[in-house]
Amino acid sequence: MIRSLAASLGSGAAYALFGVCIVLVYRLTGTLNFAITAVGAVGAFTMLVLVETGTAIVAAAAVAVAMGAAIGALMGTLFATWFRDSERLTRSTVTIAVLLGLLAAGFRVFGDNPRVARPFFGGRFEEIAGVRVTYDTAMAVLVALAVGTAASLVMHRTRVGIRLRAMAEDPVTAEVDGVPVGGLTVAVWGVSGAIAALGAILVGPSRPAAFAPLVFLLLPGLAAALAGRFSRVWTTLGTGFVIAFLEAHSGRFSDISRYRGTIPFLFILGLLLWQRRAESWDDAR
Amino acid sequence: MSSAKPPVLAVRDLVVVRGGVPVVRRVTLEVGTSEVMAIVGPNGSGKTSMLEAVSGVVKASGGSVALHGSDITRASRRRRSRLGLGHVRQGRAVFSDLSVEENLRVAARDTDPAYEMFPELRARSGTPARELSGGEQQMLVLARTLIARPSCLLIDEISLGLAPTVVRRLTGAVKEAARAGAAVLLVEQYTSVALDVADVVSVLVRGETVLSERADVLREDPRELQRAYMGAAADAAGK
Repeated sequence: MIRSLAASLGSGAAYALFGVCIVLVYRLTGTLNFAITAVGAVGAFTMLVLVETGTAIVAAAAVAVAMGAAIGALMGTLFATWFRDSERLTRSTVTIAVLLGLLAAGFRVFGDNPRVARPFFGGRFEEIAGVRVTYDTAMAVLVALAVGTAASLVMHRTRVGIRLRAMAEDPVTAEVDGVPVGGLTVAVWGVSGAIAALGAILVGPSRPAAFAPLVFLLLPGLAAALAGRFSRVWTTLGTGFVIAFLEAHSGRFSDISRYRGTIPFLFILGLLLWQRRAESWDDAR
Repeated sequence: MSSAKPPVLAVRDLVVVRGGVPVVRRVTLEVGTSEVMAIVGPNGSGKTSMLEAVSGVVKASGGSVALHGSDITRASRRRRSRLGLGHVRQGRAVFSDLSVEENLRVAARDTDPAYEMFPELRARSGTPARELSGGEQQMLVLARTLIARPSCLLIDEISLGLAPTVVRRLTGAVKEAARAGAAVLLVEQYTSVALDVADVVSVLVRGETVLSERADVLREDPRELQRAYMGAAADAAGK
């Protein structure tokens, strides 16, 4: 079990980060962003291409995160101007169009061959309780925890966070009260794009993937965000790691290991049924 | 209607259309420094729409709005706020998940003036706004708007559903803001509140101004106001 835990940490950090991105954008702008992992994948593949052409890995990672932030900010600008007064459903549907657009563009630019990312720390590892944990994995976990801590601190301890929460609750009144709703919306989308790129970069060394499968890591991210009810950062983070652990652990059982890709679906289904249990039991009575 | 001082707020021929129906029809008014103008009228007379067009919550379909001489008819809500426009919206527009202190910090870094205005809010500074009484919520919304030091204050139905003692506290704060130099445009359903706080009272009927007179004249002889208002109410009832 400890081996499964160690094996799942890299993926868990990525799921957690994707989940936090979904939570931040949904909670603060009311949009369920289905394109978040596509934004992250564009960033991660940009980094891979740059590294292949000889760019230093840290510089390539910085460019990738900036690329994620720029695409996120562009989406934020789109939503802050064209879809400012649209319904949540409309805005969320638009992100599906963006997802498909990025998926097609990424497929065309980066191809569909799986690529292996070079590790940041050259594959070095520490052995903890008999389990090998690479420095990259440790960094992924630390980044996920740092992002969770930063998100919580900004939201609750800073004036920007207070204004963001006011904007989330009533954007019109917030703007009348002087909150720069348009600028903050763009900033939230930009930050979430940067975090998504970070998540996609961090999952690279532990999980070789082509562009499309990386985009479909949206599902565990959505499952984590759902567990956090699209509002709780720490629950979302924790659930990201739990889903990754369940995936890794199921790989140890030969009968079910081939179905481990269904775990996020089962998790979402189980969670929805659990959340509806009171209504169902009431109806049954 | 006009003031000896140059107007802080000048609204000219304002038209607001909602759902294809004109709800404000060519309304013109001016509010000067330290002046309080009250707009009264029955439900559906276009009072709230007019205020919302001034603050940019809804778009004006015609006419113009100027603040300190600058045309803000097409300006964003944020720009209007930065130019000194404050709007206390209808329905106790607190941010219900935020605490009292957080609500105040949305508008300004220094929240002490709000607690000086309404000391009872200090004891509840950590309480979520949704747990406040109706009167406390209205105090919070008014305080949140006033600590941003607006030069022009729009207030929508400040007395709605509140006890007279609370209304007196709120109107006291409004008068104080006006004494400090703010131009105040107040929408009210109750003529008694309007006459108490305003220098000028206008009656809006079906989106049009049917009467505009100094409040001291109307206090001396309220019959004209009653006629205009009651006529409007009868109109509305007969519609």
